[in-house]
Amino acid sequence: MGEEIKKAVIEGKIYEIEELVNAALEHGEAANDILKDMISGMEVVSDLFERRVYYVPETLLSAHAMQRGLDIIRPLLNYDKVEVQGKVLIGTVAGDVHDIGKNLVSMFLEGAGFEVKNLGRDVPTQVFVEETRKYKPDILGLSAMMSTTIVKMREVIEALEEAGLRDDVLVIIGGAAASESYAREIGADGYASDAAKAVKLCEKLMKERGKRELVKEVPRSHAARHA
Amino acid sequence: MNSLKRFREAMQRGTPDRVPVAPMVNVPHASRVLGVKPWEYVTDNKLYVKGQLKAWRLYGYDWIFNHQPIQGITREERRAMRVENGFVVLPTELGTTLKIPLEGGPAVKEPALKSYDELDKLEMPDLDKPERWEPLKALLEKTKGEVYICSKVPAPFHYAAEWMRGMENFMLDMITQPREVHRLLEFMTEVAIEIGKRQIDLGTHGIMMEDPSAAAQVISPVHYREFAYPYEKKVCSALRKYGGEVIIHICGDTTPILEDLAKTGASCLSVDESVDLRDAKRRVGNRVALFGNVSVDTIYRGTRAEIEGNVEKCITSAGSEGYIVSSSCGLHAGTPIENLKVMVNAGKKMGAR
Repeated sequence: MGEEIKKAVIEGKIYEIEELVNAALEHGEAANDILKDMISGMEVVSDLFERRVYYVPETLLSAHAMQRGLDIIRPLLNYDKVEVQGKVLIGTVAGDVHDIGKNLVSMFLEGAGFEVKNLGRDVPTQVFVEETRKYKPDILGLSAMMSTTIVKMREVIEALEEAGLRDDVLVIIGGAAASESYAREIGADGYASDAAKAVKLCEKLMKERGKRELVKEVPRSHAARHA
Repeated sequence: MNSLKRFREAMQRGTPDRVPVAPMVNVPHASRVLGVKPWEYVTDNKLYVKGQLKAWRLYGYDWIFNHQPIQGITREERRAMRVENGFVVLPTELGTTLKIPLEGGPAVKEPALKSYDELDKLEMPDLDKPERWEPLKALLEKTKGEVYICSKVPAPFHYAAEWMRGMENFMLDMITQPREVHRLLEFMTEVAIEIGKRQIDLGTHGIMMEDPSAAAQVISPVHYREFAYPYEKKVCSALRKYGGEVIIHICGDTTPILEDLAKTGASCLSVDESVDLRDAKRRVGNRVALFGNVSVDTIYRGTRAEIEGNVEKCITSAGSEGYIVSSSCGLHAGTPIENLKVMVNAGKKMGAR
């Protein structure tokens, strides 16, 4: 059954997956195991996307299949046993209504075992700040597709600094308008050029973050700059 | 040789006195030059023309990119305009609602179609309204054949995706309901051809069709050939037969589909910076002129030397035959006027024979 569910995610069987998941549950399979099967399916999708075997339509279809499966098992999950890689808050900046890439990142991250809160598109700067305060993410992901809205990324980082939250969260950026050099320029902690790379970036940052928390007295570069 | 002749020569894959320079000046940049808000510029035909002319005179480039997708704003559209949470909300005649932030360019707020059942009710925008054509007429009148005027038609694939269905829906539709997608694309093709024919009747020199959703990072070459290419081709051949010449621009990578693009009947391909101009020239230079691809990032934040270096690299890679030097995509909002001057002047100097 597990293999079939994994395959349904890989192939984006949005019409069949609910039946498969229900059948597995009736069969006595634990929701947590079904989640693992779906996650391993998404890992394959993420790899296919990175190798350009899958493109946006195929990947979205898989992500939707996984979401449909998740909707069924979510109330049944034993959260103590779900390994969470980290908490990510993600959204597209104000004025920008593109969210397909950001949604892919969000779905891939969930697929990789991150807990993700997706704020949607056209998110005002203040909302990023308030949600960072409330949700306490390890990582905040900002997306901008348009050359006209990218400036909002800098605004969010400055607003986080003003609110005294900048040191509590790692900020990563992505989207057609963003770049590695822009990330450096605005003092973001990372940039990824596609959804698969974003997952790798988050995994890398979480490893480093673990280390950093052990040596709290070492100031981060931007903290030093504002000292 | 004036700009119009120079540009035309390059479009026909000839070698003019120098490589034409034609940066993709968009809403944020033209409104910046004029010193008005982007939304004022897009929603007022007179300001639009003024901004276009001011930018052209300021920089002295060889074209004017008449960049409104369904052309001039009509009285009805202006009347339906409203302000919501600091955005100007503009319903269009295609059924799509646009929103324009106070400091940025327009984006889609609500796509037109919730489902394909609504497709039968869709109507062609009213192209008889005189305000539609005010901008193009004024631009042609005021520039008196000095400069190449290139008007935009909405690419079927991109506008079906972004304006009509929303990207995410459309991407899934391609797999789950391809037949409906083709029906929508047929309709959008008619819209593009009708708009293009009107522009040609009025005397536009060229047609620009931007199809960024068809980029090779987004859809596979297989999907490109099924859903984007046939309609690009229909528009190009219809407009070509009607006496027009078309430039296709796709932001993002088009390396895997260059040969297809060259077969659409477009006269010229505008490529983003991820495409190697030398490679493109070798592969499709015998069929189409090339256009591009000085990095918009470099124009935005590069030093003088970096911008000039990028222009030089483009001209060296593409050569002076059948080539127009341009930005890789629409300019970043906030691109300094001085930087674009450096780009244009470098193009004029380095592209001279």
